[in-house]
Amino acid sequence: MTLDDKLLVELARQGSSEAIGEIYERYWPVVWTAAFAITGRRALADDAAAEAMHRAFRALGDFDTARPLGPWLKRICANVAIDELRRERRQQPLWSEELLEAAADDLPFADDVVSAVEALPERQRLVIVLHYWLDYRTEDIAQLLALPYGTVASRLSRALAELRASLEERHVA
Amino acid sequence: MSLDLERALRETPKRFPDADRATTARTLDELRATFAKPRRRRPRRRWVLAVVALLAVGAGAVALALPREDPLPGFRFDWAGTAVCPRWDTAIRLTLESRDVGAALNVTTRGAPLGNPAAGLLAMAASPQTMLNDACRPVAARSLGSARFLKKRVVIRPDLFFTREFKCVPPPGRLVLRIRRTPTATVATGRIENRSALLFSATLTKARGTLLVSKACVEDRA
Repeated sequence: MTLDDKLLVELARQGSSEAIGEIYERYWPVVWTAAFAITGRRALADDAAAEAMHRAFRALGDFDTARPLGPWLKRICANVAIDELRRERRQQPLWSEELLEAAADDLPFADDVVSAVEALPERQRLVIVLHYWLDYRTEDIAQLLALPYGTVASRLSRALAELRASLEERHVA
Repeated sequence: MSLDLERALRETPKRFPDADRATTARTLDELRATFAKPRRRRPRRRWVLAVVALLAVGAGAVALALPREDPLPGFRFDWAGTAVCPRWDTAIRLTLESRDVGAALNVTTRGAPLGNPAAGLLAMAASPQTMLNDACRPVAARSLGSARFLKKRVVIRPDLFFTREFKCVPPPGRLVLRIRRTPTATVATGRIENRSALLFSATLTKARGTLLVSKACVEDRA
């Protein structure tokens, strides 16, 4: 943690509006990007990132200032985004087939790698996103998803194999 | 090839979009309203403290002598504001009102209620724990006029009265209702969004007994 972050946290704990704003300016992009990487949807990312920031500021009193602030915020956001994703999955499908086809044209980013990742089964997609897009180590992912290390490692390996096969089909890899 | 794939994966986040400015600004405002504390100035002389204390006692006595007025912004007085979606004309209408014991945000579509969170909020005003239990109970899907009320979800945070989400058709998307209480006002927002766009948002603000803002807008954020 930089000294600045430490000071900002102390000031934010005391309710300094400027410190809250400064922390937000520094880390909101990181948090939002993490939420977007996991959920893949702007609306869900907005909600998850906002909820994560609220949770983080509520828990700021318990935060250990000897540790870096960014990874802590990102971790909270990852937890919230994964919860949001699971909650969405339990809901009844919102989109009719026609609407899904129409929405596919509006995807905010679309290239072969992203499309291939999006096409993975969710549990494989999640480990790819956490490992390659959010830079989590395998043991951290295991802890985050409450899974054995071996399960995460094998999911990662299978997901990579599927991605490779998928991209070969598209003549990209 | 393995290395190329892994490098391509690691470089993917560089192409991710940024959060839109409206969401960024709104979230920061909410955080400041919730967690920032007003600055306190230390009185320079003891007699300032004494005067302030005397004034406070006087004001307290006056307050006790007078009928109570709006101790919790958004409560005590009847008030209502309506925002109509300009894109769908009268198809979507948000109405916010305060009642004797609570506040309610109603959403109607073509005259039929899309969902009425009033009962839950009134229960919350009576007992937060009751509201928590009641609000988290799943609600069965049902049809109301031209709108299908599919599901609701409730998140209760200390700074919010509640947030509720409805899946609505039409327009196809997600309707999020939120009533938030700040130290000086009660703010209700409703927004309808689909995967890529915020279709409609409305904000109603009540402060010091007056409905300050009632606005509705259509925003596109491709």
